[in-house]
Amino acid sequence: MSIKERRKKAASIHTDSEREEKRGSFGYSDSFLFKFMFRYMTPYRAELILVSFIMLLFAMTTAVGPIVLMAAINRFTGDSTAGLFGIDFIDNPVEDLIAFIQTTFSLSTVWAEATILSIIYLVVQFLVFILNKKQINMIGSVGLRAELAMRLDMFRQLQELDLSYHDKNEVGRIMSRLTSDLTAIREMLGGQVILNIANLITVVIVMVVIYSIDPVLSLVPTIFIPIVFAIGVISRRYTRERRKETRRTNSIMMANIGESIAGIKVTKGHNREGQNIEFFRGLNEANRKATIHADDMNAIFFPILLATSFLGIAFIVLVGGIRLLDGLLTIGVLVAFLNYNIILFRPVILLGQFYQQLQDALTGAERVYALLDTKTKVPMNRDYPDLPPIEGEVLFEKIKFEYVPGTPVYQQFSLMVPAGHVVAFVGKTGAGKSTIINILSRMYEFQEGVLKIDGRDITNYSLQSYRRQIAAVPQDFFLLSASIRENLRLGDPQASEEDMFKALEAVGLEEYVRSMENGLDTPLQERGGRLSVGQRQLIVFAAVLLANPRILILDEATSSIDVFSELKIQKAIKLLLADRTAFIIAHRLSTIRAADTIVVIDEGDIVEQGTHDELIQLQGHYHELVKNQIQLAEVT
Amino acid sequence: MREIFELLGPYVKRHKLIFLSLNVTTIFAATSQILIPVTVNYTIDRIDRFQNRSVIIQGFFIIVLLTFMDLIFQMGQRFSANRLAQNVIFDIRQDLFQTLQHQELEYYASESVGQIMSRTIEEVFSLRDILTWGYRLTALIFWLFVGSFIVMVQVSLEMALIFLILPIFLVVITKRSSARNVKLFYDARFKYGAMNETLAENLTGIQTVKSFGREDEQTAAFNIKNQEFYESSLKTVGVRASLTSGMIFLISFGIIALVLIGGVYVEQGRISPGNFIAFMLLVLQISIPGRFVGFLGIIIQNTQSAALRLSEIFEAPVVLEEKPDAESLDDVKGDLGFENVSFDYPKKPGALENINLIIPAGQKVALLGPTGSGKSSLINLIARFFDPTTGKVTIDGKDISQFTLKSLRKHIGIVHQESFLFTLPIFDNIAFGKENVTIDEVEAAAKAAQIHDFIMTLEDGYETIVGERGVTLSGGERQRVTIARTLLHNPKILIFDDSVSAVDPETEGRIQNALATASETRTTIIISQRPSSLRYVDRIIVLDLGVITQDGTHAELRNVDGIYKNFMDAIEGQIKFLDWDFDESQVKIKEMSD
Ligand SMILES: Nc1ncnc2c1ncn2[C@@H]1O[C@H](COP(=O)(O)OP(=O)(O)OP(=O)(O)O)[C@@H](O)[C@H]1O
Ligand SMILES: Nc1ncnc2c1ncn2[C@@H]1O[C@H](COP(=O)(O)OP(=O)(O)OP(=O)(O)O)[C@@H](O)[C@H]1O
Ligand SMILES: [Mg+2]
Ligand SMILES: [Mg+2]
Repeated sequence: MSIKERRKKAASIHTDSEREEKRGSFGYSDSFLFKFMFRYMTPYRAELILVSFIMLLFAMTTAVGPIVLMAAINRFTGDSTAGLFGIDFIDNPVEDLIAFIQTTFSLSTVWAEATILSIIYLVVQFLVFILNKKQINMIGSVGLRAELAMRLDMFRQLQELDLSYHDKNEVGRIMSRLTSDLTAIREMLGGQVILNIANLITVVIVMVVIYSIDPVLSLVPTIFIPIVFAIGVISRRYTRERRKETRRTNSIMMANIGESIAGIKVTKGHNREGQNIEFFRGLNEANRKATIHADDMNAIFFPILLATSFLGIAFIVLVGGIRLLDGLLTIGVLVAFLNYNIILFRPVILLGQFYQQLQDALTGAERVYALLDTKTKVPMNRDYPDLPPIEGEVLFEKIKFEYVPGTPVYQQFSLMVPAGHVVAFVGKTGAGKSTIINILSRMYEFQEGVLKIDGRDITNYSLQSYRRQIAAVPQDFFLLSASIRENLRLGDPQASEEDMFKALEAVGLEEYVRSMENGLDTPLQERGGRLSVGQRQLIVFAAVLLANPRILILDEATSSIDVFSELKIQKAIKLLLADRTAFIIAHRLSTIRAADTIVVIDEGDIVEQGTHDELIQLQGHYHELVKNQIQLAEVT
Repeated sequence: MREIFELLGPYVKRHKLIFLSLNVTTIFAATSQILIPVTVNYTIDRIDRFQNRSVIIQGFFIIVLLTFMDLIFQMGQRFSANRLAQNVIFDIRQDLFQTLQHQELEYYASESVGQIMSRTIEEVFSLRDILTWGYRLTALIFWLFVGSFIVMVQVSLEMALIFLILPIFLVVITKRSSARNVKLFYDARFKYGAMNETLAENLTGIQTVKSFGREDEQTAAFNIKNQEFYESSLKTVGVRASLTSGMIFLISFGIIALVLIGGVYVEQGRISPGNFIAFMLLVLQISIPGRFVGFLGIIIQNTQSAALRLSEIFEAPVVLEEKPDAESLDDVKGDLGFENVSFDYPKKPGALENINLIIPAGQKVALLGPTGSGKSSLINLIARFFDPTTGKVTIDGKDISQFTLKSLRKHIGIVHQESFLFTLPIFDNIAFGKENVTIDEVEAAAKAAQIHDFIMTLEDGYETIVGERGVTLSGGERQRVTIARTLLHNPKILIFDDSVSAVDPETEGRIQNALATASETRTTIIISQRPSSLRYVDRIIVLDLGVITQDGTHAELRNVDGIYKNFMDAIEGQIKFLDWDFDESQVKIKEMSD
């Protein structure tokens, strides 16, 4: 396989982001997605009702505005012979008013009418302005609040999902769902939907008006409007797929940007900038193609919509002209129709446009819902009983575990750890030490067997209550870019400043932290940058000290700490290990030796188990390991 | 506005032809759109005069023809706009990515992944508005306006002039509200970026969050950012609301004024009723796109805020500049020198102080020192990830700042303390940055790093794609892949920064044997917290609080009071309780002296 092909494969797999990758549908129906989106609007029912009411008024006034204008034009051109608007129930009161003004101010008829019409028009437009503003504001904030809630739900879901999900989905890829996809939904919920309901109402009102003026001529728009809608529906078939492809390529691109920045140091060290840029170009290109492809649908669709409205004009001229010749129509009515055509088609065109946005929103909803719909394999079980305060006895019973289906790391892992015992896992790299920790801290779900704490099956209790009684320092620990204080709070959110300094002192960092410009409040950079790696481990260690858990898990927690610091924290470790259950993974003998039980892991099973002395006597794996280490320590 | 032109101008220039076709089609579309009401008016006038059906049919066909012209031009216009937009976006994104790739580490100390991601994705994405329809619509309105104006001048010069006032008003309002609104939009964008930052961080550190069971606290923290974004966007909603509805109101105000004035003129007989109708049709016609003027104002202001955020990336100073006359570093012997080097981090002065050091080519050096003593900082200077505050770093006696970064780094291989892998096949991760690599080379490097056997147990072997940052590998496996990556690079200067910390002693021993061969002809620096590294180095350098405190061979330093002695004593203390008898491979256990 050439490097290029390999690249391609990498880009397309980009770890199998499962369903997203299957370019087709996620398998939700549109009506379902609608329901999903509108569920987030239901808390704002009152606002929605109010907005709908405003929209009704808005639609009416929008329709009235042009009618008044028409009347004014007709008046001035002297074409109108009939009533002012041609609609009796409006004409009568208005004419009374005109008569009144005419007599009071002694104006000529035309001027009185012109004045009154302008006033009506301006009042109406002012109403439109007020209502529209109010409406945009209200629905906009409702949309934003729906977005807010949706994003929070997604975030919660992400906290809930176990690591097997996070392993497969790059940060950037997930982020695209909480950003671009949500934006599309917000745009629809926060305005477009309501606006277009208003448009629909406007269309109906104008149709009624038109019909009451000349039923025959009104046939023209009556025929054209359904055609426009039909075009919209047909275009959906092509639009949706293309929209999806833009989102997909977008999320891949986003993942790549995120990763490229996170790995910038490696990139620089290996002079890889050029290749990275080329790789990104491919993703960028894919997104460009997809977007042009999708947007071209609009480029075809809209001009057709506009053209139908012009064709409407042509037909009005044709039909209206003939009827004019036949004396069935005045010229004023014809002009009015031409104008109504414009007024009528404006919302229709907007509706067509809305249809496209709707596709966008649905595409977003699909991707958002797919995330929310993903089942975590390790549920939080918030509604389960809390695990009562534990002693710390841990029992693994015939646990089968696999990261990748079909390649189990453990077939039948069994281990009993009495409360208060310190267990050290040793074994070659990749033997499966961290995996045990992952099982114990419930990062991944095991496939078979039982995990019992104090004889209680852990799956029957709320996960939160369990995790709060254990503290784990994963091999890839991570410091937040927040202050040191925030990071220490990972261990205990309630810890006082005094406690924090005590913990820092125990790990030998107190002085250093005090010397930093803002002490505990000194912000760290991403991933704890601006501390040396060893210092970061010490901070995590301090957090663990604060957590004061019943079960303690340290996965290579001191690997980057120098011998002196380690000696310094030896006391802290001893304190920490005393009278609690602890699981330790380390390669350093000094750390291992202190354990009550040493468990040697090899090839997915426990091969030896016992105290240091027992295992040395055994002359097996552990003996070999110790021998190796001592030989390595020999400096000549 | 200026920011937008400055940002987009050069890119649009690159796609002149598309831009030209966009403008030409727009002019034609506007023309046919203006001709339609003109034809209508003309036809109606003639119906009145000739009372003849053929006039109607003629008019009908002209309008249909114009409609089709409009259809074609509108499509052309939109096709061009799409391409213009996507090409410009493509270019900008590519340039952004390139700029970011060429920024040095110091830049990333102040910019988070989340903010950068929202800049390169969202901000660039928002340019789409102005490029796909903002410009097109503005141009269309402009030409419709010009066309209408020309037609109107024939009808009545005075009314045409009055008609001119309206757009001036609109432009003035957009401009005047701009300064304040751009700030609001910018703020919303910034908050969005900050939210992304929290999100990105949470997702990256999800395992730690879970380990401490801090999901709820994280959710609360995230929601604060979410809320902040919500609040700042709420303000932009207000802007949207006033601007869009306000513009429509203004336009209708203008229309009614025109109707009234027109009415007066008709009354006074200055213009004919027919002319008046044509006039009004034009006004109405233009009011359709005119309703979008409010949106236009918004996207202009919004784009401006995006342009500001983007220019912050483009205009960020390059901290570490290559000299204009930088030369390529080609043949390297491998002599390494530090002359009076001091180094300060922005917030941490004295990370390294007055370092003087000469490491001759081929020498193997162990760098020892307590946590935070400045070991990683020192080696970062060699690859010029940072520049020393004072003094200079030399290779073969020449200041490294006079070489191009690329050529310099080609000769330096660093295995960083934190192993980072990319979401790529293992093969590509090892071959990272090197082109035309054969599978044999990759395998050789993997074998030296003791990772080949493991890779072969994977179903897809070297083609296995690792998770982001390499999460699907164990800690030691990841470290070994990064070692292989550096070995393949075949650098003249090899640096290992605590790169076997997660590897078991047995494997470590084998790696070390391989390294002993690999480093034979190379200058090598090893940082390790384990004594094993000391076995085959020629020299030991001890760093404490940013200062070199000891420098010598094991024999020289072993019994001199100092950190090294303490270090060795501590290590021996840790294993003292064991008494090996290698011949019998038998271990007797002594009592621990504690
Ligand atoms: N998230 C994952 N997805 C798939 N495979 C994994 C994952 N994590 C670990 N593995 C594989 O499972 C095996 C056991 O890994 P584990 O992390 O438990 O090793 P370890 O004993 O902790 O090694 P080390 O000492 O190097 O940290 C390894 O072969 C590793 O490649
Ligand atoms: N980006 C930074 N900004 C400010 N200070 C920093 C930054 N990076 C490191 N430091 C500080 O500089 C000092 C030296 O850090 P360095 O990473 O070089 O230590 P180290 O010797 O490599 O330690 P370790 O063995 O723990 O990796 C430390 O006190 C650290 O806190
Ligand atoms: Mg591990
Ligand atoms: Mg370091």
